[in-house]
Amino acid sequence: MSDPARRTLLTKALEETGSGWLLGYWGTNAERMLDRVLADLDAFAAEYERRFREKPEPFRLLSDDPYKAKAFFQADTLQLSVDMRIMVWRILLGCEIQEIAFHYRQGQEMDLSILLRTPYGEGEGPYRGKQAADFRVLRHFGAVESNERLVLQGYYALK
Amino acid sequence: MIGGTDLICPVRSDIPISDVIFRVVRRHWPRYVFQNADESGPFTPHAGPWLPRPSGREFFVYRDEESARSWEEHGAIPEILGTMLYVILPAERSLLVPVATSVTLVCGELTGETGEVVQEIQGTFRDSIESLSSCFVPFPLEAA
Repeated sequence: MSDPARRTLLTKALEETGSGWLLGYWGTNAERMLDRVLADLDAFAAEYERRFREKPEPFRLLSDDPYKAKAFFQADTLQLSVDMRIMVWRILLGCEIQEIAFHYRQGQEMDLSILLRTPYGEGEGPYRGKQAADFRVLRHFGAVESNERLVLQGYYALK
Repeated sequence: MIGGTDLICPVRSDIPISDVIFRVVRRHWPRYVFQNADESGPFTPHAGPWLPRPSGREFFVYRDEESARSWEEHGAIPEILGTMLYVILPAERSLLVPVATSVTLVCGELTGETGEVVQEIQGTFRDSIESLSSCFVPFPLEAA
């Protein structure tokens, strides 16, 4: 698919999931930013395919489950590192959050480590977040109390 | 006729509602099976462990295949009332503008494990409503 066609596809995805405002935010840089986001999506898909031997198709998610697509195409998710984005995709597919370790100290590099569990009961990870933007995944987990304990589940869109 | 308890649960319109329900159910009923409400004929449990995707607005979730078959055979008898959840998703959902909508859950008495399942689903829905007020946080994607 040509670059203009891919830009059109991404633009449509952003607009259909409520993130169309990004295009205005980017303004005259929109074309360059769309290319950057597309390159990041390609890097994510390639690494995912390498690890799991199947190709993720974010644009197909728009028709398959637009509510999950909304979470995937939000600005927070678009900024994630490849490792964190793979973690998000695995949760969208149905993995559960098994363990999160997060260390923050002002002025230092943050450390985020997330373990998942597949529906088959197998552990996955750790998925590691090092860059500042990776912190943002923590804002998208659903939270529920079960037997007076916190359970984090799912990856959902912010407003 | 199911009987039991009808609950109207507020939820945000732009989250994958069935995803929330199946994740909670899966923790409590790991052998759960799912059925679209418009499916007729022999009961066919959801195949595979990944989260199912309902084809319509209404669906049933049973604790296990045995419960599903009992429901099919006997209907709502007291012995199995607490083994099924009937879900009715909102008729209209706004994806682009998140608003509060509601899901209807129909189940047996709100006690025991069924009560916990429903309470946790409601808790997650409530959490989604509260995040309606989540504020905009600046981010480093380049602006014009």
